[in-house]
Amino acid sequence: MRETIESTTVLLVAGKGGVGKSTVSVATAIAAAQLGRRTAIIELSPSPVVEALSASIANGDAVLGSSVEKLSIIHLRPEEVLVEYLEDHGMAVLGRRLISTGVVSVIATAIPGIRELLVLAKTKQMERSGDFDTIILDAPASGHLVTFLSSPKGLADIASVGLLRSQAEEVTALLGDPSRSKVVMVTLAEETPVSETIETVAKIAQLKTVAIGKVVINGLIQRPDISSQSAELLASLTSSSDEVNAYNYVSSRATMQSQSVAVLAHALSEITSIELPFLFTTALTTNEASTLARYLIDPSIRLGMPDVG
Amino acid sequence: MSAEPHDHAPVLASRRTLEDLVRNKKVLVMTGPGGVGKTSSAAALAVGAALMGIRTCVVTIDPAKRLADALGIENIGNEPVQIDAFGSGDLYAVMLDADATFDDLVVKYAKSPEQASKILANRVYQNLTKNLSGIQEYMAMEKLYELHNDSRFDLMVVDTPPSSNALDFLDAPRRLIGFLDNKVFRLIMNPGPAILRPVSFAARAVLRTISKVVGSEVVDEAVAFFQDFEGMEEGFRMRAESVQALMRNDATAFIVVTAPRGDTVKEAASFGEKLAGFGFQVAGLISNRHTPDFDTGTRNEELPTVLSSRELEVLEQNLTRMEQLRISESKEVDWIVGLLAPARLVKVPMLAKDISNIEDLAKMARSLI
Repeated sequence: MRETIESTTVLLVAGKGGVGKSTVSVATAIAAAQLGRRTAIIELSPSPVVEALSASIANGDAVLGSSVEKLSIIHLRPEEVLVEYLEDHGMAVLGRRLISTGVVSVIATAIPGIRELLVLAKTKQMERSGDFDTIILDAPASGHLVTFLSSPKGLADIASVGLLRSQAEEVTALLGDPSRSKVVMVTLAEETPVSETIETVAKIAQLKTVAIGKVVINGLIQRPDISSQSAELLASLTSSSDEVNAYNYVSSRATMQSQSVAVLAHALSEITSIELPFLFTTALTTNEASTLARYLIDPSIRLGMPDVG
Repeated sequence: MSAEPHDHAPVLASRRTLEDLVRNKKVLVMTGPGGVGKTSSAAALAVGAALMGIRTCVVTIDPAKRLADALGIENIGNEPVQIDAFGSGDLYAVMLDADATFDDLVVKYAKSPEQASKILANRVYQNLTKNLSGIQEYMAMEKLYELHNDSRFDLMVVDTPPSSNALDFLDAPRRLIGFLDNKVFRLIMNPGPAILRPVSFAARAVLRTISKVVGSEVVDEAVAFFQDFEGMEEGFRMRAESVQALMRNDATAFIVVTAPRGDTVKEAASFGEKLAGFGFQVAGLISNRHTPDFDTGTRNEELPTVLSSRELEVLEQNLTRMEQLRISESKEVDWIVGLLAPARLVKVPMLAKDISNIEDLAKMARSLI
């Protein structure tokens, strides 16, 4: 992941609900900051792990070390961005009040993708400002992602006369340049998220609006480290035991996951992936995100395994 | 497990499953965050009910391909289709098409076929179901309303799409009507008494600014939409009220679906609280994907003879970690039981494989009912 982070400014982190998209966004942001990059994470809807990071930054959490100074969190609400944009283009105060009565939602409905465009336009503005080396956009769940990414080009067609046209063109240019932006797809090693990932990647490839930088496979459970002969011996045991049952469970989940990983690797042979370990925890705090960040920078470290032998 | 309700004693026997909900309710609505197995839970509950001889219809929304295959509903549309569940004729399924459901409503409430076709062709209308948040969920409720008097079914189980905002679907009818009642556009079409003229004037100014930004075509089409819709708001409003009444009916219950992870549980809890706050009946809580309990005290004396001491230690640590995980999963979920009382909680263990046929659904149903 290090080369993806270091070769691109804007990373659009995407994935289906429940796969850990926000966790990967936060881990990637921490990793970028630890690599010395001035990093912003853009959050579009409230997320507990982003909130946890926000608290850690405010409290100067030791786990972040000196990278804390490099991290910013930007909360973007598309409706607000649109109102702001209209104000910048001559709308008066009374206009703001009328807008709050729903004109914006009517207009936004008339132009699907305008919210997405404005979010990307704001991202582009941040990128152009030169204030950040890495900008991470925690993108909407993948069902909406394709709309999200296809909006600027579609908009260039719709908004053929308005001021938005130049915005649409500039966003298209941002997405089309892999040194400026890339998509990071997050998935779990399970059948449904894997097939959705393959579908989404195919759609994005077809649209040719943006490059896919990396597929992050989240939550891979590691098989307890015993020799293959021992594993065979365990399988042949006739009487059961708690340790063996727990081993078999983890082992069969690991097998299922590696089958899903194989399906993914086969379908997406041109895209590199990185595997993140399952952390045996139910609550992801900044601590866990930092652990994953270390792993993103250097996948050769072993995480979450009992330190024995 | 059988539940025999006695006159004075609480029905303790059924406290641990959703059996009496399936038996006594007419409508079960499954809600919860994304990625927790909501669609599978809805399908499993429906299969389980059908196997109990209850004539059931499951309304699913965008099921994963494999689940659609499992139900045999790959090519079904917006109308209920009978599903073969172990030869019982009691299971029906319908795959919600939100756009088609909305179109049906427009046709129903339009004063003339011309009005209907003008609306259906308008770009603002065509994007409404995709853009107005909560509308998909609302259309699921609409479909439910349409089907709830269907004499073929005793029970409807409805899946809802994952919401980023728990209030979206509760709020959708109000938002839809608010949208249709948009004051700015109303003022432009009909400025009203002189005292309101300045506001109307300002509204025009706003639209002019918007025209500059997005082009006048879009604004013209928005105005046309409101002209075409004129007179239909009342029908929509009444319909929305009937749908709400059905949701609050005694025979309707909500089931919150979650998974035992901190963020997911928090989201589910706030969902459940809001539902209850709005006066809906939250009667069940399904928590999927729990780590099984391995710590039974069963030891195998052979182990030390076949494994090295290092490997033995690896296995022991693995067992300990699974046990810690199981306990912390339970803690994550248990705290919301008090919060959502009297809703009962059913924990479903992590499935050994993805659901791929109706037997898998029946198996999942056994832990639910």
